Amino acid sequence: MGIDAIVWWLFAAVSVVGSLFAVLSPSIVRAVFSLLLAFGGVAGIYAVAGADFLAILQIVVYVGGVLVLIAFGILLTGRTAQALGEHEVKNRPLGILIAAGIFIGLLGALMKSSFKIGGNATNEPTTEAIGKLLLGDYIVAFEFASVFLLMALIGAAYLVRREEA
Amino acid sequence: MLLAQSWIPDLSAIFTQFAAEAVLCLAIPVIILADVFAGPARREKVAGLIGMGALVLAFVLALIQPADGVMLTKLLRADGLAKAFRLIAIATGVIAAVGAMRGEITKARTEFYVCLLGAVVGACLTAAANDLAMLYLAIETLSIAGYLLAGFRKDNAKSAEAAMKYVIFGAIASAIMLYGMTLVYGFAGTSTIATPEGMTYASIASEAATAAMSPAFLIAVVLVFAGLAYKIAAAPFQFWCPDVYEGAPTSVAAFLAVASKGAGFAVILRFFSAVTSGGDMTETLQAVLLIVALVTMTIGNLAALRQNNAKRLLAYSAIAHAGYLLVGVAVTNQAGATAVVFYMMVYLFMTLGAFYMVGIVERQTGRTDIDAYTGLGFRAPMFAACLAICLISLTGLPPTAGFPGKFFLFQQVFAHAGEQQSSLFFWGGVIGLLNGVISLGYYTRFLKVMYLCDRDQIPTGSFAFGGIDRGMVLMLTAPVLVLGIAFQGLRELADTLAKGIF
Amino acid sequence: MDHLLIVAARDNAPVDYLPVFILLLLAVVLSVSQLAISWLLGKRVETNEAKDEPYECGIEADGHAHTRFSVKFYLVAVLFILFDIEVVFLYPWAVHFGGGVPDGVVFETRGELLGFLFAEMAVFLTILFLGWYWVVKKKALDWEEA
Repeated sequence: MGIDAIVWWLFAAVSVVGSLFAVLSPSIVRAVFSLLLAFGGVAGIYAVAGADFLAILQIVVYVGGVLVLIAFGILLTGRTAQALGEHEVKNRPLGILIAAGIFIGLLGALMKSSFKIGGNATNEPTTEAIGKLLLGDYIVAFEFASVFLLMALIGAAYLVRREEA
Repeated sequence: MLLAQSWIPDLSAIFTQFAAEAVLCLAIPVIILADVFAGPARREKVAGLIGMGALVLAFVLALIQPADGVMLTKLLRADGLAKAFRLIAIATGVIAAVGAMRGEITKARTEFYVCLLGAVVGACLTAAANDLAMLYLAIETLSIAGYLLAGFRKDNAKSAEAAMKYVIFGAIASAIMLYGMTLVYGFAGTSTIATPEGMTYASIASEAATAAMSPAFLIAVVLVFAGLAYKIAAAPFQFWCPDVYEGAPTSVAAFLAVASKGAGFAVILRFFSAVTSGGDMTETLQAVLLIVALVTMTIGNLAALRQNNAKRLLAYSAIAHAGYLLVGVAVTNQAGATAVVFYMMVYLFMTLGAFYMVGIVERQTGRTDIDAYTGLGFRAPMFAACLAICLISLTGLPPTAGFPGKFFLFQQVFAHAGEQQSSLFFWGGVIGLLNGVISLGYYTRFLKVMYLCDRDQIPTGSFAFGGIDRGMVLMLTAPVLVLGIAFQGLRELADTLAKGIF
Repeated sequence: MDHLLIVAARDNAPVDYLPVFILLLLAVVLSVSQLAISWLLGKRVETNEAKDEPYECGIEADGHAHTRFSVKFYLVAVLFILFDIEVVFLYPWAVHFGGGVPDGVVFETRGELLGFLFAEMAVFLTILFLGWYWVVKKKALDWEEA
């Protein structure tokens, strides 16, 4: 196992542990902050995999943005002090069973198959290549994304705004 | 450089091909600017004017836009399928806007139109997308606009609940679909869905046709389908549908039931045409689609039997119709796609008509339960007759357009069963027909309360049905009746538009 | 399992991240060691409720640390994310600017190319800043009112 693989497993372990904390933690605020660990681990995986742009994106958007949004979202409910375990989940064994089944099925299928992408991944920086695609082939999607973001902005501002009487 | 073209004609050609979408996209910033400068007094009026104007202009442009399938960008395909579902989405947008302006949405019209135009353009681009990345962006635009519209009545707890449920289910479905897309991309090595004629680049379709695909590819396709099944409200992703339709403003529910579902079907047609273009998975995928279709329509119809709320009932009816339409996809051939496009166009009129009329009753009585319709056959004969026509059409009985629609769909199923010697498809067709009988059970409940009630139960007081409302309802109902008899023209149109999908 | 690790097993290791990794390691070591040293060298004192209070005297601690936030914060967070995503788009654009020719678009001169790239981002930013302008005009960011 090379150093790459060790680091890869390290980050994988970090993200799995973070996700487990997030799911199992009885305090919803702690659950949110353990997501930090999960997001960070995923960013590390991207970096090791040579996807530098994705790693940056993961940090900037998920750790820096989405997490803050979730934290605010949770904190404005005012029910954070209550333990999450109050609502007894009746279907927990069934849920675990289904999740495990899906996981094992997917893992089994993925192990047996070969990917076309991945084998020819290079270690070159990806940001510039992505910029090239974004401004060339994907120009329509790129410009449309701005309209999409504008719509999301207006909608979010409307939902949060207090109506003037 | 020899290919030297300035970029201006290149992009402007794309804009010409997608003029309707461009107009809608442009209208969003224009509305916002107008809102800022119009001043509080004229704000709502200006927003309505620009929003409706953009929708109507887009509809006219969509009518004359080419459908030759020439690819100017790898991301979008201007073919018949895109044209058909673009028309459906924009028409639905216009009618939803008219319905909303009749009283449901009185404040914040700027925001309403921004979200509605976003949803419409999202639906149009979803139908035209030929690249997984573009597809995801378009679907998310449609979804997020849908979440916002569903929760638009901020003062209404049910509306907020609807939006919340829609968001949570939607996020999960979207995540599953995105995971499936990444796997498909990994297996195929490209995110382009299909290679149009005359082009050589690789696509998911060309990879699926040549390479022997692993079982994991099948799983990936099913994962993508799961996300799309959510959009069209097919089992087992239909739970959100009744709650959202009940809580959302009625015109928004109508939009979700037609435009959102239509866009989902456009993608399903395009995507499944790509992954069944050869290879050994076709039969399995056909079976998966058929079983999902049958389960969906059975769940929808059985659950609708117990509903007393008109909006919930229509939601379950919309679920059942997702099942009927999926049957047409399951045969994965040209004739099936034609049947889906034909049915979708018929579905547009009858569903929008039914929702519009439910909206009228809700506005006048404040109620959405079936008892609110008591005696309407005598109080408002015209209204009741129109509603009856739409419901009979939803059941699929002649002389309404629902009959040829269902006939073409199930004709394909039995034809497929005969060709492939498939007993699964034969029994699937039988179950589908039985479902039609079940659906009679709940649609006729409307007819019963409207016409067969005791005279003394009829509420007194007038039922206003005139002006714009009457015009809209007649405009939506007349085609249902006309197309029930003279459906040949629409069938030919559907045939032209669906050409080249499979 | 090979293909899962295929990216990790390439022979050209991403050594570019070594400084980041070292920094990360340093941060962990520093914080852990400081805690450990004070635990090892410091006096062990029994704690009690009074000692755990945030203040020695004055106002008594009241309520839970996780108080309710105003929904206004949420709007700020939403706006932040949207402009965060915009930055994400800016970044590859900036790296690419003046680089190669974008696929699918061919230009006569370099100036034309740069103009094109600039125009693309200008359109993108104009549309987004219109949203920002609207939010400001609607006084969604005003804290005093309402």
